[in-house]
Amino acid sequence: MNISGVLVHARPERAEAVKAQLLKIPGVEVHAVTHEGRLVLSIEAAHAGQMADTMVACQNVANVLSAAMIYHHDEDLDEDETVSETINPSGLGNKSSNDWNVQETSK
Amino acid sequence: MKLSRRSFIKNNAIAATAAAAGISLPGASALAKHVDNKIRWDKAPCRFCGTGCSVLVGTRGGRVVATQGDPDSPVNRGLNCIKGYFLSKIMYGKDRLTKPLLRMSNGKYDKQGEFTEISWDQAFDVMAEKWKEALKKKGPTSVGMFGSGQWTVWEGYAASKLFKAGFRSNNLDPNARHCMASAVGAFMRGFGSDEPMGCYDDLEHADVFVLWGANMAEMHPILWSRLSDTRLTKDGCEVHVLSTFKHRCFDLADNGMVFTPQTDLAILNYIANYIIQNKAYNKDFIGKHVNFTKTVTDIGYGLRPEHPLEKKKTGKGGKLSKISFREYARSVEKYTLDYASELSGVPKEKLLRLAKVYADPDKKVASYWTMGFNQHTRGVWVNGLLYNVHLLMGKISEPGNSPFSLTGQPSACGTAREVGTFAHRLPADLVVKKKAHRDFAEKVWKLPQGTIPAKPGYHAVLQNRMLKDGKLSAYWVMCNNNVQAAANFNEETWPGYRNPENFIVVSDPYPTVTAQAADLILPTAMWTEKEGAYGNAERRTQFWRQQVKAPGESKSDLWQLVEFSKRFTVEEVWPAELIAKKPELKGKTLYEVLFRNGNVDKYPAQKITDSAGNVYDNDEMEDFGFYLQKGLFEEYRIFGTQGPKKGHDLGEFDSYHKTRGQRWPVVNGRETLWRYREGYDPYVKKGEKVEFYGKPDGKANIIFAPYEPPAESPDQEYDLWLSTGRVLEHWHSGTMTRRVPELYRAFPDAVVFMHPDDAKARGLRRGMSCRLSSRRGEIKLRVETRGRNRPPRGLVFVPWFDAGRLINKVTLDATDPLSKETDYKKCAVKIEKV
Repeated sequence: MNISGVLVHARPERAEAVKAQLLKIPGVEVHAVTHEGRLVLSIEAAHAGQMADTMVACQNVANVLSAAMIYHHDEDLDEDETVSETINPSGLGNKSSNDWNVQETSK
Repeated sequence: MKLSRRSFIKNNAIAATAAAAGISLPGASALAKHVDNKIRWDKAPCRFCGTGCSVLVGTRGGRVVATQGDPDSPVNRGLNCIKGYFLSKIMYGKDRLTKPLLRMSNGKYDKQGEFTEISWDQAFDVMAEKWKEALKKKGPTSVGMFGSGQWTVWEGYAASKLFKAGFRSNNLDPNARHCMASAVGAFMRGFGSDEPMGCYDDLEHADVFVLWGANMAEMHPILWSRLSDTRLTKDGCEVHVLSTFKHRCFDLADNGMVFTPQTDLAILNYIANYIIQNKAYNKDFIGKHVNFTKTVTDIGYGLRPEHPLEKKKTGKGGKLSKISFREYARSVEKYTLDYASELSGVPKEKLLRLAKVYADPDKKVASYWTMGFNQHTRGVWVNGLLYNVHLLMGKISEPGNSPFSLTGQPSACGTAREVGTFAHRLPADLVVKKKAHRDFAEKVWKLPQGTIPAKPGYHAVLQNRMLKDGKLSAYWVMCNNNVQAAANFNEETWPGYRNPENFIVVSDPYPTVTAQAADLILPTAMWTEKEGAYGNAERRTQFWRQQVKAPGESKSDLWQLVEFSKRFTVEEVWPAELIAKKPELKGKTLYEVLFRNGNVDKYPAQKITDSAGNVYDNDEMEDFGFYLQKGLFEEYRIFGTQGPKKGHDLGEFDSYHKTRGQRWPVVNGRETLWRYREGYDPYVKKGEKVEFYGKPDGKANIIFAPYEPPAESPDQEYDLWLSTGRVLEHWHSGTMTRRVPELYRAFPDAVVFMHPDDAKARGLRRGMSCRLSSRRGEIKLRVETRGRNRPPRGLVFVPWFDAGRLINKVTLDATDPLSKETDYKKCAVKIEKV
């Protein structure tokens, strides 16, 4: 199973046209387009090779300024496996543990 | 509510992406409170370029299965580029090395033999024997090491101790010599302290961005997306791009300029001249904070002394002499708009537009550069000429006004530069030439005075020449692929490695071209198979914990260095007079002297846990019985907090496991965003506003240097410029990225990018095979006339990641005589149909 989340930047006036082109690529879904020209994509692929081809195809769509990978998961999955809801999980399981104090950056 | 794991993961991907885009999607966030308890998540900096993105690493069953751009990282804010995206795969290439391999015939070492599996003990036996033989026959200058900007901080530090103190050889140089040495040289000449004054926050503060020889869109994609975001959301923001060929950054450029190679020297002097002619310079700033100087000229091209170009030169070295502002103004006077445009081939209106943004006191300008400036026979000069422009305007050391040298490797700054693994350096900007600096290092290391030799060792290019000449004979290459990376493979590198006088050891996770040229290969743990620390381009030091075990018998570079030191007693490596100065060291091994000195072994073994109670391995701690990484780092830190060069303070070891890195100087637990500026940098004296305290008088140097031609230019026979470089999908020599089949598919083999008319003139079309040759060698590759890199007529571009098409058979090993860094961007070639 290969799933990824991809953030694409385009010039705002061309974002809708870029979206139309991206949707033609198999496995690509566009979940949001912002006013600033940011597009939220997910890609599903049967295997990692297809994933890479799809990502490169996204990057090469005309008027795409940059495509950044946000999340990637590549694992042989038991399709019956489930996860359960957990309220306020502790520690790194939720990837934002309290002990990583992010220092303040400039204002 | 139960949810299928597949939907859960997909939802996670969408929610994380939406968050990075700054929006929330109601459906996605509702599901985000589900937790996948089967995966352990922890953070680690990416292992590829110098940006220093933080990545969340998901481990399951002892294997990395997922990665996510770290949303809490101030560097990448949840983003990740295509290389970082495949981080989880680089450790799992099918051809990982798992056992030491020695060239053998009939059960014995033989330089002409076949690689044969041996044990670590046998490997260190033969290695120690060869080291001792070289030391005895030819002395300490016959042993050396080629290290890396991909080493962890403590690996570089341990190597520096082992070679500079243990073996008493300064022949230690990193591959960062090939990418950063010119930047270092210019920082030291201009400011007396290495590394940028600004930071990545300038990507949001600047009004104008200027790229000088940096293809950020492909090489630093995450910084490029931050820059793109600013360009698209801030009114009046402009992007100027200069390069010798068009690349992806030109898509966003408001002012794209293609210039003739080497004429960046003239363009920068033109901008300085424009600023002066229009009296736009910041009089108050240059009066208080700047000295005007000029550098020695006609200094040659760093080739072998018998080369005709070296015989012809009239100047030598980088001595600066003071001049007045008027003299400086006169020096740049001849760089008029007409002259700069004629020399560079850039239309006048474009150059004028560029000069105007620098000269406008109300526009904040951030300038970025990488190899275009650094891999340049006048690399130190050209870095300096850009500082001149920023200094004339006082556009420096404050939010948005930022001349910024980007780095190519994850720890070129943290390890190569800050630890000082160069042939002339010691930690925290100290140098071997200065007695006070050696004294200080020896005191910290608890060694007798006079242990560290005063003479700088062989730098990268010289190492290959000295291997060929049989002067460097016991040689260890670690964490790099220099046979592929070094210029002039045919005439220098290959004969050097295969010289029967020499014993070559290569430590690597994969059978690289360099490993195959070696006599002994040591299988090496990589990235999160060990605990590590990297320092990125904005002075940010970041740590990670060991996440997984290395395969087979692979061991980290750190383990290899420290373990090897057990094979030598001081009597075998030091003269009796030196030992007599500290008799208590008698009979001890280098391991005891360097690593059991009370500092490095100060911290006992402990359990490594995070706040959630997850437990992590630390294989080195298990083997040596103490917290080796912590001891090394805490000893190293003394150079910054108590050393002779101020402003290099690092935080305490434990603090880095709790933060997404900290930018040095770290004083009283606070990082520094802009150096040399009051209010940001604690070292600037009250009331000074700006103080370049790396220099004794607190003033930076404006350094005049003229345009001088490159070492080799196209002529009748070799009628094209060759520039080499990188592509997005591969990183550097491709050792790791080419192991990832998906990246290989995305960009399988190197091609030559050329102008369609140049191809046509040679009877070539896109996709056809051609022979590319220079006076030194030739390679065959395919023609590409379309795509992301679009050279002008007269120039071709070849990426260098492809081990099957070694472009460095063709390149010239001309270097900057000041920084000793090779110019990979300019030589003359011809292309023929085959």
